[in-house]
Amino acid sequence: MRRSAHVPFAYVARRLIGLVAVWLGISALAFAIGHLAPGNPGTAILSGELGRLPTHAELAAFDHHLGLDRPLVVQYAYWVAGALHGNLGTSYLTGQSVFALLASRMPATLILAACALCLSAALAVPLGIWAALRSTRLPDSLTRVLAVGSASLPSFWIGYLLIIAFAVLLPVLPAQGNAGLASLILPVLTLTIAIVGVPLRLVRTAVLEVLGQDYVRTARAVGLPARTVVVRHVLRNALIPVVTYLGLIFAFLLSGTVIVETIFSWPGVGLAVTTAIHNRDYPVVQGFVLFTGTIFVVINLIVDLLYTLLDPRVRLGGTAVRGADA
Amino acid sequence: MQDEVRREITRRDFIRRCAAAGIALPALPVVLAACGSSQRTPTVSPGSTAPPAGNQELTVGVAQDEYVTSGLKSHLGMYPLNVNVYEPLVRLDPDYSVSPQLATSWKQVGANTFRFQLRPGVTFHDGAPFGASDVKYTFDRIASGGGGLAGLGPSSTRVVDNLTVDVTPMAPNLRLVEQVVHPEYSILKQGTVPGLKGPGTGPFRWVSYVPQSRVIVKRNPTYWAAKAKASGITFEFVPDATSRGLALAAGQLDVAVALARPSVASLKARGAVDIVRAPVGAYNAMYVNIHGKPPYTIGADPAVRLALQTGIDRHALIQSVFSGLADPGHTLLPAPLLGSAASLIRGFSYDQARAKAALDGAGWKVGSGGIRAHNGTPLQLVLVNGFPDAAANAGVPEFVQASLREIGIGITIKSEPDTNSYSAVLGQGAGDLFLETGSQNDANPAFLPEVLFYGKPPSQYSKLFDPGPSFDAEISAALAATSRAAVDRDVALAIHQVEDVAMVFIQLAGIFAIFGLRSNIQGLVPNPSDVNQSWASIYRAG
Repeated sequence: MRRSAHVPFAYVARRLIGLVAVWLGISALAFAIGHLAPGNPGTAILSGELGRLPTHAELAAFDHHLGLDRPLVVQYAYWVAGALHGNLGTSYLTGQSVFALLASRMPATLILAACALCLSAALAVPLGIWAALRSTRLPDSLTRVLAVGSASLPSFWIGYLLIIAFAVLLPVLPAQGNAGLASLILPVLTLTIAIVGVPLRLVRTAVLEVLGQDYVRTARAVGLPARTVVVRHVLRNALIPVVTYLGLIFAFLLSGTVIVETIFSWPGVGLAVTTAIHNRDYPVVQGFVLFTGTIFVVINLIVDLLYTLLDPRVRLGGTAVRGADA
Repeated sequence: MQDEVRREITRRDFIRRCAAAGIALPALPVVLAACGSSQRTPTVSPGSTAPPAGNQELTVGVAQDEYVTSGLKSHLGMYPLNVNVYEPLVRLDPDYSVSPQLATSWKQVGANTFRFQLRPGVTFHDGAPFGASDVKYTFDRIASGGGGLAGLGPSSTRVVDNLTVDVTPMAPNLRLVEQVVHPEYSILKQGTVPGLKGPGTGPFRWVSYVPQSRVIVKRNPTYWAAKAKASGITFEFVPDATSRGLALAAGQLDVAVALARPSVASLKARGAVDIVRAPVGAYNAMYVNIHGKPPYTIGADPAVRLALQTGIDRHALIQSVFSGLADPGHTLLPAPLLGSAASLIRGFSYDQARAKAALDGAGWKVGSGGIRAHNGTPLQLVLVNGFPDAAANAGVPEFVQASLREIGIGITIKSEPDTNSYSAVLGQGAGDLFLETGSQNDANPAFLPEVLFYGKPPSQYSKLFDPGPSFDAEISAALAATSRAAVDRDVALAIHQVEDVAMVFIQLAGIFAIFGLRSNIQGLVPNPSDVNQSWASIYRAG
């Protein structure tokens, strides 16, 4: 009955090679998106500087200074070559290394995203099981309301409500900023409320589906305790779609927490990138897209590999994983 | 099977596990409260006006960090957030007059040359004396970056003696003194750049800067004028205006700059917060494309422009969109800037009947859908919203659309998210109306009319909006005028041309900044130009 879910080397190697191709695609896309957007960095930076839109001559001088008057292919080649050496360029706006900028801002976003993800999982899994076990009864209805509310309420509105409740009316938490653990609570709650609905319903649906399987009936029939049946047999199989979703949502959170970061003045990467987008600070935008794109791909790979641990029946790249006892 | 499982996992078991897994986390704030983690400002009895004694640190919530910190365009600490570390030669007072700062006096000494007499005894924060070489260094640095609006060149600034400099712009520019009030012309110590290692002469000196988080400054104990009342100020970047208001209400900020208008009433109702408005320093307006290429040619019809001027109820706009917190001013410049010459600009009142009559007279007849048409061309205009960004003008396009619909003009709203995309549309001339919020940050009354409508040389704006030779002649005269009265008159006549005669400029509202202050905060003198705001007089009473 012992399981040994090992990961085939050939499969991982193929995925890593594919990752390089995807990475190049992301880099081309990131570069194109930045340069195809209307406007240019000269307009953004100089208009702020001059208090008016710059003249053509001023724009030309600015572009020449930054090398933006070179052919796009040449600019792309230089950028990719730099990126391969860990050099994502420097911000037009601040002169700071893009890598250093992302590295300095990413921890704040990472903490926010990780806490929200963990809290979401911690809520979604038990509540989803509860709803499934009490299907069509009050717990199911309650969690459905929670899920619909989560999916429907905009995160900025949730954020404002939480600030009013816990910073203004009941002044126990800071309304904004990043001054320790207390500052983390409201943004994390906001994100959690915003994302918990979908995994909750996924867990419920998956558990309901698995509960009807023959092997669950068999497990129960051979006298396994109900707790063991749920944890070892039901939950293990029901978690696969949830893990997939949480993996994707984590990658999304790393790039998509800008609204929450703005409301709570949380010094994460989303806020920095929004500023960069407004100012057509290409190196920062491109570096960010490349960075998060890579994270997406890597997380997807990790999620795929996690399948083998959760469900030994899963076949990776046509190679059956041995050792399953099912 | 499910029933059997349910019997095994009891409700109590389940709740216990959920609590362990984190469902009890929302109760954490209460726990933290019990632990005394509140960050509220200590309560001070209201009504106390005693000046501060000892150390007094204030926290000011400001908008998003927009500092450029690289290269010759870097203005850390100066612009757009002015933390009063650096000072210009002359300053812009709240009534838009020019007052001495690092220069004690100035005069015109040549056809295009101004002589500044510098203030003696001033030192930088590191103790180095301030002098003419610092002014030359600063202005030469600006020249290297393009020269700015003043048109400074590499040889524009000449040191006469240690406390005297002559400045000659590259092109004729008699508005120089009025332009150098802008904080971008603040004086740097020779050999330095704006930033933590660049000492200034201002009432505050650097402590720290964390990009997009905060700037901290402390009182300059050797300041040449009255010392700052607060011993230090932390400027917290809080990008969202509503969040700034909430942080103020929560006691996390002493002052919140540029509050969201819809939140002002609720903040006032809560008490413990005072609302202070600055004088008008900005405008919200539309420009009509009168030189457009098909399909953007309707703005060339003066009857349509008259209908636009008279078909919008500005008072109703201010009440509904700006929560009553704007002025129905009729010109693009703050009133004090033009003095008595402002009376030369008439403006338009809301008169729907006049608007309809103008359109009827020009052959624009109401069609079946309520939108007028002339020779088969529907009176449908494209309104481009995007400067400084669409969000800054939120609600205005929809109000204009609804108002003009009543007189038979259809509006298609085109929202651009930022200056860049707006600029691209402007460059293509792809619109009939362009909606902007602009501001006046120096004492030169010709600045905005020149930038927006003057055709010499042609600009992105003037290609669409230049009302013609009469306007250009007035601006040319204003730029060359020596007396301030003549400048005011020429500029007022130019605005009269663009607003009353050509009807290219359609004023919607005069905009002022709104500050929220904890009720124990005193001494703030709001400047209509936020980039020229002084923080030296602000303090916490009691």
